[in-house]
Amino acid sequence: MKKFVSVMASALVIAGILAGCGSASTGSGSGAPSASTSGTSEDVYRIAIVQPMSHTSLDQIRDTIVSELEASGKSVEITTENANGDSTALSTILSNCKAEGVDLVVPIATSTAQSAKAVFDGDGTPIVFAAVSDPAAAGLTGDDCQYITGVSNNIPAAEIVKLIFNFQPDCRKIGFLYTSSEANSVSTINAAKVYCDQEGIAYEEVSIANLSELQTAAETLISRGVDALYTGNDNSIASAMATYTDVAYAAGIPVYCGADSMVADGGFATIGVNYVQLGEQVADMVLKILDGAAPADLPYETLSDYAKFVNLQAAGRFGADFPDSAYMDYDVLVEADGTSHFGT
Amino acid sequence: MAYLSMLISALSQGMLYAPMALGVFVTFRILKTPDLTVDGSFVFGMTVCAAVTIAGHPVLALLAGTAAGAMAGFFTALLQTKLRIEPILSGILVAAGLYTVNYAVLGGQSNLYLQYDTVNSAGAAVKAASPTIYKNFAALFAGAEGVFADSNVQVLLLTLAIVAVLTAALGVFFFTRPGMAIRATGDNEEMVRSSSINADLTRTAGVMLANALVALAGALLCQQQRYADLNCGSSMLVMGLASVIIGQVLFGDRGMVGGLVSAVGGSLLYRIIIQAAYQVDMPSYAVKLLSTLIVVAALAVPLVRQKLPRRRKGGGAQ
Repeated sequence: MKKFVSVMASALVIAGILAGCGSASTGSGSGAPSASTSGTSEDVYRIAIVQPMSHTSLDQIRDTIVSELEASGKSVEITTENANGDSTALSTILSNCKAEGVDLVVPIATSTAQSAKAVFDGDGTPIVFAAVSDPAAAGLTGDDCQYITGVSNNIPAAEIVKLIFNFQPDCRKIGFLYTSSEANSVSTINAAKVYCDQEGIAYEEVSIANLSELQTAAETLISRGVDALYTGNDNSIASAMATYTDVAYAAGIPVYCGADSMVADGGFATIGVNYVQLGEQVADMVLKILDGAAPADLPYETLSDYAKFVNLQAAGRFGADFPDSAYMDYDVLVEADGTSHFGT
Repeated sequence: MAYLSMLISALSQGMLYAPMALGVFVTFRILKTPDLTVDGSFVFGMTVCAAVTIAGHPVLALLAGTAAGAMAGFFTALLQTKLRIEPILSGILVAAGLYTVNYAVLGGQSNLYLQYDTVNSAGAAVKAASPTIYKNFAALFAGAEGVFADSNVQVLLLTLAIVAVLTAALGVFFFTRPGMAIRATGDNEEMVRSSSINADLTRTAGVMLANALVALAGALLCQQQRYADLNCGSSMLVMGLASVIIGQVLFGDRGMVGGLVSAVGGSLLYRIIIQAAYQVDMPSYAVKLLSTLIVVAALAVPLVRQKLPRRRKGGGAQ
């Protein structure tokens, strides 16, 4: 028994010391950037940003939100937390935020937002999520979500079609090519098809089960007279862009795609998530709530601007003769001489 | 007040993971064979529970999730006993295979929220939250004031009741004939075989029981957090082992019932430590290393104790 008491006591002492360290500091719980401008501590608006793991795009969102809020001149104290890939830590981190009485929480990515909903449980603390692809499916839009809003990272089908018509205003038929087993790719194409049906745009589609069918599939679409090819964020096709583009460009058909990496590997143009833009929209929303807007009056937003990239080397391969004005909003990812800016 | 609410939150989380610690206790301490199915069976319990909860049967969902875990355990045991594959490899294989199964159970997506399509009073199609045992339990406290209005307290109370019944049932089970046979299999499989007990059968039963417990924890967590996610199983085994060992350090070797209780206690303490670690003023990426160091320190305690017998005796005489 004595042994037990001593071990228990030392464990509690450790826990106490750890907890004590936290309470002694003002930044509470994190060494990441925290800003506190003028005003007494009661006036400071406390914001917690929680991300599930470190990842270039997630970090970019976080850093943008922090810098935007700091630049706003408002009296805010920002804490950034990271579960480091340990999903069990999400609840723990969010409970800590709740216990410390943060005024607003910004969960990044779907499961973080869902955990925040469960932890804060409609207690009135505003939750402004970032980068949730489908807020309705994630349960973040129902009647019990009065205090939840945010910014989705979904790319609407209309934007994909706009991407194609920007370069080829007289495009008569779009060809969709995708892998049937990839959920993301399929859902993007399905949304695009619905949009095309509504707008009266003609399209052809071919799906493949594995990469050996890719060449035949691309040739089939071309033989059906498509003017442009589109493939979403499809991981298998992304690994075989050379095959895909060889077939397409030989026939003079541009290949549009759903990821910048696919453009770096030979695709012609893409429209994707601009994570800085996403962070700015989240920060704007936070500031609106800080100024007294009710989260219930702010419906969730989609991106108002996207990352747009072109590959000029690819343009040369299919003999593009698009006017310079078409390239205006696009960043060059691969130069005409093959110099790549991808990943820099 | 903030610390009290953090403590309650840590206890309620620790209690949710307690069945998993019990499951790891069964394989690690009773069968004395490490079982790496845990990372997969935890999520299997979660996904099956999510699917059945959305269909509108929260209690049945817990049972279905538990049964799913038992099934995962059955396949691991099959690989171990019939195909004579190394226990560690068997677990890894089943956990890897379960990824696809879990993906399919969630309907080909990685995340599923507990909600269903319905029509509201205005006639519009909306999504409504599916009832869970925690929501139903919280409804009993509608209008409650003070401590019982805290959702963490409600979660803690209900989970505590479930874990208490579970621990008591396991305590009784391991003193019945089948329970004793499972324990004997872990202690001395040769002896069990020579006593004309089917050791493959007892081992299978043990692994099934363990994974059923792990999956129950996944199912409980699913209903508490109201979503299932494929990534929820990562580092589950490490957490379970840490809980069991911390419990053992705390309570020492105190027989079967003591062992079960200490696994639950270990799960609670592990969560308290992690929650405290996140309170330390340092970059949050450092927490992983800190929590690892704490677990290593806990693991080292038995050895340190063994190395310092004299001092301990001297201290006791005073």
